[in-house]
Amino acid sequence: MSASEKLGGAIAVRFTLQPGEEKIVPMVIAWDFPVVEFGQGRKWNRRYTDFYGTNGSNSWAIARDGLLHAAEWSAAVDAWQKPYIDDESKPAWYRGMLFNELYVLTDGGTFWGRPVNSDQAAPATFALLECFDYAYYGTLDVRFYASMPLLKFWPSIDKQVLREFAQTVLHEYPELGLWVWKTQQTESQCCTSARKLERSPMI
Amino acid sequence: MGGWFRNYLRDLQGALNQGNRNRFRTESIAPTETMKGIVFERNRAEGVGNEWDGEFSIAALESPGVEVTYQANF
Repeated sequence: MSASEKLGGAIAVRFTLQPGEEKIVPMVIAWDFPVVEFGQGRKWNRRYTDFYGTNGSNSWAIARDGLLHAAEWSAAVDAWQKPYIDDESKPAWYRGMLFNELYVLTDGGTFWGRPVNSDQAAPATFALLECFDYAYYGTLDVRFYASMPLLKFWPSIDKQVLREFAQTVLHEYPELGLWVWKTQQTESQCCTSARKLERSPMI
Repeated sequence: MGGWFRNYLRDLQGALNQGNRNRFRTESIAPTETMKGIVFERNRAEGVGNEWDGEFSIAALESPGVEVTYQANF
């Protein structure tokens, strides 16, 4: 490898504590990967680029916001969770599950964004990934995975999802599509229901 | 998927030159607080245009009694 090639890096924080003393030392990691590609190269920008730009050189600015607002954001999350955590009428495991299962919204392959160079005034598209080994976005029949918290806490996003589904109801798809389950060509359903495989990242 | 790709050879001889750079960066946040960290970035002709491309940053706040040190190259 080249002597000048940089493979890794690290930071360390040094401080001294007196007996019994406590100190909170915030550290942050941020990344800026603004582009998502679908199919043979249709490019979209992630939603955060509306705030930080699309050139992919803004991880420092994102990190700075994290450092400056971490305590405030953490307090806001605590306040949001408190009425559910304190609800003694529900068993503890249930209260924990309510929040643990929210990972689907943020860590389940979710996409939130808009096509590259599209109008920023238009609402961004939000879609859940069915799962990583069945890589279809916005599959209507499994919206229950995370549709209730979306409706309850982010209703404007949920409305946009349903508007996009509604737009497909009257749309006719005359082309043949690949029915993955049976590995055969099949005609799409048309004019009667929102298609299950509306937004495959592969096709 | 994101990342700066290499091949699988142990000696890395077949790796493309991706122009990776790790840059120490410091920024005054308040009279007694300085943000210090590393930006893991790479040379490119223009803005990011591909899904795999982008950058990372790690950072902490230095303040009286708290020192941030760094190693930007390994």
